[in-house]
Amino acid sequence: MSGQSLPLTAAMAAEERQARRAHRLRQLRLWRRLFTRSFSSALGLAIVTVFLVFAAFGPWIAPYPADAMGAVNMKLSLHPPNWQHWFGTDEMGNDLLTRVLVGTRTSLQIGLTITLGAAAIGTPLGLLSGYVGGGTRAAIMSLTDLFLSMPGLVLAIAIVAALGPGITNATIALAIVWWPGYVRLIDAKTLSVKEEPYIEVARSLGASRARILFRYLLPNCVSPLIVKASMDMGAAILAAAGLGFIGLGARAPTPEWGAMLSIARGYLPQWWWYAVFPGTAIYLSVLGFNLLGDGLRDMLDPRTSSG
Amino acid sequence: MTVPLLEVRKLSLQFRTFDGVYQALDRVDLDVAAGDTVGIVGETGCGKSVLAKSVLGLLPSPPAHYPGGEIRWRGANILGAPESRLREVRGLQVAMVFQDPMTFLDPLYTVGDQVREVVRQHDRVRHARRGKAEIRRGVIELFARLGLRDAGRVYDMYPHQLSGGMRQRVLIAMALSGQPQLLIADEPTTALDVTVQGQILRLLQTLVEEMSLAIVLISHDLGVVTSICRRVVVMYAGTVVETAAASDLLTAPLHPYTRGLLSAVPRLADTAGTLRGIPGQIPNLLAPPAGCRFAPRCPTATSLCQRERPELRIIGGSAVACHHAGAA
Amino acid sequence: MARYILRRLLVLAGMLFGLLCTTFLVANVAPGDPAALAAGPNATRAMVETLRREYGFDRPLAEQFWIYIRDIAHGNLGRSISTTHPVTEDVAKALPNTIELVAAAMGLGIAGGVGLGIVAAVRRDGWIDHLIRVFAVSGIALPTFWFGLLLQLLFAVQLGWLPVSGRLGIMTAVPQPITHLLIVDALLRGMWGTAWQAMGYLILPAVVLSFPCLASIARVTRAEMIECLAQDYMTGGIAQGLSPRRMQLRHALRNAMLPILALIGLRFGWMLGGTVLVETVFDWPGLGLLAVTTALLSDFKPVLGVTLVIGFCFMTTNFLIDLTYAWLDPRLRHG
Repeated sequence: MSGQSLPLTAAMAAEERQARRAHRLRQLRLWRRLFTRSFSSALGLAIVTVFLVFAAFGPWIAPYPADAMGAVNMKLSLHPPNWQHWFGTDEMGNDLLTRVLVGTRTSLQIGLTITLGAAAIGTPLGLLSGYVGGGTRAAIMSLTDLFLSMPGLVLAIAIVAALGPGITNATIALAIVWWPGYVRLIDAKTLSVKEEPYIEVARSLGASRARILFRYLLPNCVSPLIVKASMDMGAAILAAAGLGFIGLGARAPTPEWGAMLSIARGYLPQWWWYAVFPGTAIYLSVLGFNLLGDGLRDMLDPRTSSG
Repeated sequence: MTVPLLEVRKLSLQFRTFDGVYQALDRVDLDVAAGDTVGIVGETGCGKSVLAKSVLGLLPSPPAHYPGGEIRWRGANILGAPESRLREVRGLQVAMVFQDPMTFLDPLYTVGDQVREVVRQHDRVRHARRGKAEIRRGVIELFARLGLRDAGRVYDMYPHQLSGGMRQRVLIAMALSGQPQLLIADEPTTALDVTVQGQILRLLQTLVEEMSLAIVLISHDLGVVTSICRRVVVMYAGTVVETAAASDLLTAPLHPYTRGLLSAVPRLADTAGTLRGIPGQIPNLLAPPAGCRFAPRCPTATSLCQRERPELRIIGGSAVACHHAGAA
Repeated sequence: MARYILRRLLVLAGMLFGLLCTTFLVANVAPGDPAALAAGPNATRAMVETLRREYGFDRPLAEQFWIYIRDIAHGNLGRSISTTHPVTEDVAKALPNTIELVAAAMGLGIAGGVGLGIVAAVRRDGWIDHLIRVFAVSGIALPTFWFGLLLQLLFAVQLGWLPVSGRLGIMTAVPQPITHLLIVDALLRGMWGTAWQAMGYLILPAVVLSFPCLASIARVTRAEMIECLAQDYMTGGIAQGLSPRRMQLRHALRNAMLPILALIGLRFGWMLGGTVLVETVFDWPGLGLLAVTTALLSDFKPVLGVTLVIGFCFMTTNFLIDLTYAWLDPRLRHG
């Protein structure tokens, strides 16, 4: 193809550019359509955006930044929500709003690490298994099925118990539990794309295996990956908070929603605000990611638009 | 004088969709008398299937809407009738056979179970009671009559274990189990191999003779329809454009669309020349043309055709909806 | 059919072996000294060394694995440092409680989820459909442990209708075990008061545990029912005069159950994980609580034992679900 500078090629190039532009416009229109037509997707996007903002700018917009890592202010201990402390204070006198805000960063970071980590391990394995097939695939899929047939949270607890409690270990444990899901997804997608006629054409034109992998298979996997990742974010945040609640995740004074709930439990029912606000934060963030994931799925996979 | 069974008068059908109102049928007429064999021919999207489904009230009513017309069964209007009334007609007086026997049978039950289910429903409406063994015998007998060999074994098989032709015979058996007077077959052979096609068509013909069954055969294939139907109705874009005896239609088609259809069929004798199709495309039924719906593609269209919708006129033994029929 | 069962049994055996390998690896190959892990944080050097010899941590890995398998075959899961009981004993005491809880929660989840899903699908786009969809979506996002705390607050503390936590009142008589399931035994022995009270204690934890499962099943049931209701055999049946209600329940639902069954298997796994959270909130003396309390004390053997038992239950249940799948779908039997 290189070295040809006939006017014919120029016309073809111009046509291709126009086609690509039209395609991009259609994509944009699809995006806009999705978020204006479907209330739930718009809501999901809004919630996620808000939480992302909190995660990014939390320490700067929090009213009492010193409280984030647990200052001690016993005079202010366990004050109900008021104008100085919108969410009230905890048992150490820390402003709960601050801790919830900064906790956003913690939880979202954990969720992102788990999801990206799992995807990073699972996607190459899935591509390999789907593309190469045969014995390799049998081996990878057996391992994947093994992990998938063990209840996730229980296995995670066992791993954390072995490694020792803490945020890092909890994240590692959950990533280990999560990656098989990605292998399954990418393997299935690769298998179906592999059979497409254009792959055959590419191969007959002499494309190398690597080229087919990167140019054709990988881009096709992006859509289902995005959908799964956004739905997994919610589940990962929930699982991490669960581990924190049990006491195997984040440790004081790190502001993590699950860990906060664990302590708050001891202060129910009288000092109810301590449990309500972190719990609501978990709920809303998970809800946001789930709705967003649903919306993305409806948009990227039109077959399931009935749900 | 033959007894009129089905009389469809000026039936119009609209679908309310997101993108607008889809004019599926526009003032369609159809007559079927006892013992008749009527074929409905037209390309995909001409409305033949929805016409058939409308007879039995099978179209779900929020998107489907009937702005006008009547469907009379043995004199009584059943358009918009309540479910209880329709259930007396379905299967017992008018039965329907569909295109793809694979998807029209539930894969999780044996074919015998499914036919028996229908028979028991019919018995319930007729206030008859028959035992399981008796029904089984009756159904196996029906299977055998319809050409299913080893009918006893077939009864206990699942749809995926049968061939396409066998499945279609099972569907026909299901349709006939209520001893209806009219059988509507919607593209019954389209999903089958050509040899099996012939078998099923011959089977339908036998049924007409032996059971004095009236048949409405719907197909996009003119050859299939003219092979067993004595009368043919040609539909285009939701309207009836021509009704004629099969022989007349083949030798002297009156409507330009019919003529186009016939000339598009390649014949072995034609050794030279290009394949002739009908230029253009079917109109968008969200915004159909005001006048004759075929006018945009018609070689003999005039301004009259574009303004005014032609009504069916009787010419000889046929009826044509064209302003210029009979003149050429 | 027999060949199918055999194949699935072989897969099950393979999975179980894999489970044993994984638990072994987690215990022995994870960073850190496995002997110190087993001895606990308060052990002296001498105790750690004794344990190293006793558990055979100084032997080659393959030999350790063999010992591990042999021990498990004899029902020996080690000894818990915190309770000083053999792990098998602690697990045996906790298992029936978890079974009761999970059985109740699964029952609620499936019955509620399928029921709501059917209603939502049949009355699609109506107000009840929207309500159920909102309910389902928020139900999946709700943190189980938080939900548990809230329900405790509402029903136990504020309204006082239900007990706050625990398995049974301290003064209540406990029936002699037959099945070791508390409520079942109480009923079998005619101890109606005990049974009634036990059920009261079961309600809140079961509802909380069932919630995400119920919501998820409702969603998928709705989606699958909608798809099955649009299938051609529905039109076919109605054309023959069958009633829509009959078609919905006998045909559409049966076809929809296949993917729903797969989801049930998946949700069961999540629910087993959820027992950890729910049992903690409600002080329910089951496997989950055992795992949590021992994990926090770095008492590792019981955690491993619980993982093994729960993993085994999950795999066996999946196997049974696979069999049910084949029974429901004749295409799998003949394929």
